[in-house]
Amino acid sequence: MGEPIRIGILGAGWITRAHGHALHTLNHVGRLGRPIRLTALAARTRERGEPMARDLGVERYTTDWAEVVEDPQVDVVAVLLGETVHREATEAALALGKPVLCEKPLARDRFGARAMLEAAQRAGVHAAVGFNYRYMPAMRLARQIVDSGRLGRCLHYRAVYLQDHAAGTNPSRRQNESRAVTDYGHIVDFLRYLGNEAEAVQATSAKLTQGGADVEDAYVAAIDLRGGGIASLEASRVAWGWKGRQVIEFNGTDGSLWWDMEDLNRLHVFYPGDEADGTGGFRDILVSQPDHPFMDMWWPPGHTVGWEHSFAHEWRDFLSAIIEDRPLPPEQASFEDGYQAALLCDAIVASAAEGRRVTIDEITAAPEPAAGS
Amino acid sequence: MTERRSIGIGMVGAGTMAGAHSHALRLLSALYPDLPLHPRLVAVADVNDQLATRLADRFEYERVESDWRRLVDASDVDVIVACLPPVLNHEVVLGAAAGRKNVVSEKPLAESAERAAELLRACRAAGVFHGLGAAYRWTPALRSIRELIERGELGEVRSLRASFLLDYGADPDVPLLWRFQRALAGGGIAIDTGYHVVDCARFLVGEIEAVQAVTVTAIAERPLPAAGAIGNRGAGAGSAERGRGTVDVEDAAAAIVSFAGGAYGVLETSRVAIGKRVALEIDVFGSTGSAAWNLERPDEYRVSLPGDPLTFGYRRVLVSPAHPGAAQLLIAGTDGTGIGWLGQVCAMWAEFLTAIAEGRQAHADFEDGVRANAVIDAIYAAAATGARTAVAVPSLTSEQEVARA
Repeated sequence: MGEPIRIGILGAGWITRAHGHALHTLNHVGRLGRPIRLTALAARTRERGEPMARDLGVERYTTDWAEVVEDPQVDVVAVLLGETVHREATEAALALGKPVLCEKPLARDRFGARAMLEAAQRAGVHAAVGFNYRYMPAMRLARQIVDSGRLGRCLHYRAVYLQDHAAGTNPSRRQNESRAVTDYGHIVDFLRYLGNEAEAVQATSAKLTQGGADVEDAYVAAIDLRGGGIASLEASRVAWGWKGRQVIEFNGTDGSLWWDMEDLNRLHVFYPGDEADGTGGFRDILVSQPDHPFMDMWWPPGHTVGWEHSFAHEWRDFLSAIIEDRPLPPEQASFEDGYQAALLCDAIVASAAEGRRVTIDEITAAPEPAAGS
Repeated sequence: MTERRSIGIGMVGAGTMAGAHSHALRLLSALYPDLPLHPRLVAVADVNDQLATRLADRFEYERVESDWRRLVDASDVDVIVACLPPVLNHEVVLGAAAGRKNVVSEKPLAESAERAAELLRACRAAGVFHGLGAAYRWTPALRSIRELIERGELGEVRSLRASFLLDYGADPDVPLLWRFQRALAGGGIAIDTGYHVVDCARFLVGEIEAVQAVTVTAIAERPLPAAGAIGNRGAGAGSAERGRGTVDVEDAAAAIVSFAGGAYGVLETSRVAIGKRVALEIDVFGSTGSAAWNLERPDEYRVSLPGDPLTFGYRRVLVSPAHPGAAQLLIAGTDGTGIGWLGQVCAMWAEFLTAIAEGRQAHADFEDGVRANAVIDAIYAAAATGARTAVAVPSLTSEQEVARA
């Protein structure tokens, strides 16, 4: 094995546990050319940092994220902070030539994302966004099937993401300032992941909880796709009963597929040709075979994987590209993908705020408002 | 409008299944306008006048009788439908045959294969039509699976799993209704819903030769029912003053069976499976593919057939008008619109009336009943002795037929 590749982690929230777990896993399953070391962790407070560092086996912790970024013992930076600090921390790491994996959303808006994309281009190092669901085996198989052309062109993309963590008067998760549109940015990213580009958006949204920041808890968006198809996106964090109902549908000219995070090892695919003999119907594919994406590093067929495995797959691609000195694979979300997601999110927010159809071109062209305005 | 040929129906019994049959018969001519015989709901007979009157009012029977024998004697009744508890059905069927009436019997046909064979022989001797109320084989989904098997699409059938799980008996306060009494039901859940499991197994895979089995009585005593309590649950019909009685039949049964063709089967039924309401689930596994069906989703079935390995998996097939027996039941003319539990009862009656018009016996007839009863006999014997037990089918020919031969 070569020299260790040393990771510095910024942030000590629940998502840090998912990333730490994955990084540990990769020293044992699906191993890379170099061992992974978790050298430093930054948390807002000592009370958060100490137990997180101990639990994840991080060598040291600090309450100053800049210390971790600048630490010469840190080769790669994981930006897992609140989204308001993504930009500053990411740009600092990139300025030092350190690769960054930044949680989604890349920034609070398209202007931040654009600046981060340009910083990554200037630095010339690897930079990825944590759209981890791209790394669910079933959704990678979905991309392979779409890329193969068997489903034809997308006529209707439909995506739903419903949760109930903000429902009721005593919500299970503390609300920060994050908004539903960007919080559920996965369904925005999946639109592009499955080969679609948005042209224009009509949306409506609402704040449905008491107190906290003045941001939407739910939204519905209708989208015109470039090339003629349409799409609908819908998300809520106040939908009682739904814990992780993230359903993605691709309805194409030659077939369809769908996936539901609550049954995440399964992909459902329909080929009209199956109807000829009276046995047409959605194929219910248990994505667990060795020739299914990522499954060669896991168990024999039928032994399923969980949500956390997506992080291991994500980090494996990211660190392999760094170690082997090659570009990120096209399936991994780059900062360009993060910026494109931000454009669509901003268009949804603008359309909902202004009550009109907003095009991606106008959102792309609009200059950043002057600071303080 | 041309004159349609009609056939008079005499319903014996006015309980749950009598209601289902009556409902199906009322719908039948609308669903199957081309039927060669159209049912005419003539009369209901039940010792409980109130029940009989309610059924007659609801489904517009022409009259009510308190004695079923009057239906056998009536010139405007052509088909007797025996919907009493199984043990009581026996004399109704014999009476119908003696009176040269066609007869449809709810399942189980009898409490034993020998008693069932008496009925078959009597009907054969009388030369009347005999239909068995084995409704599930009439679901378009199960018929589709049977066609797949017949076309060889699953290869050689290797095994079948079939379970019919319910929970109506899980509450110990459900009173000691007829389904919990050997003297009326002829047995417990094995001969009740287990009968459907056996019929579906035979329908899909063929004859059963031998069985191993266990049975369990989960709740040994139940409150004695108040007078007039009917139905499965008899909600609130227990009578505290009358005390409790002993349950002398099983609440659950499981069997491992060997089919004549070499496949094996795992059959199970229970009325104390909490959370399962009326859950009939069937899986067939062949050498090249599999099929599955679940009554909770009656209008779809699942198949796993060879193909592209990357997208291999069960396909969920919605029953469409092109599937067997489905066109008339999908009244919106398209798949995805649902058929429901009553649909299979309608399909069964369409077959019965068509068979009568064509002068043949239907699928399924009393011979299917005798064979299903013989499997149930073997299950009870195997459970009692702990030994693997061969299925013994009694002689199916009448003395007159033997004499003619």
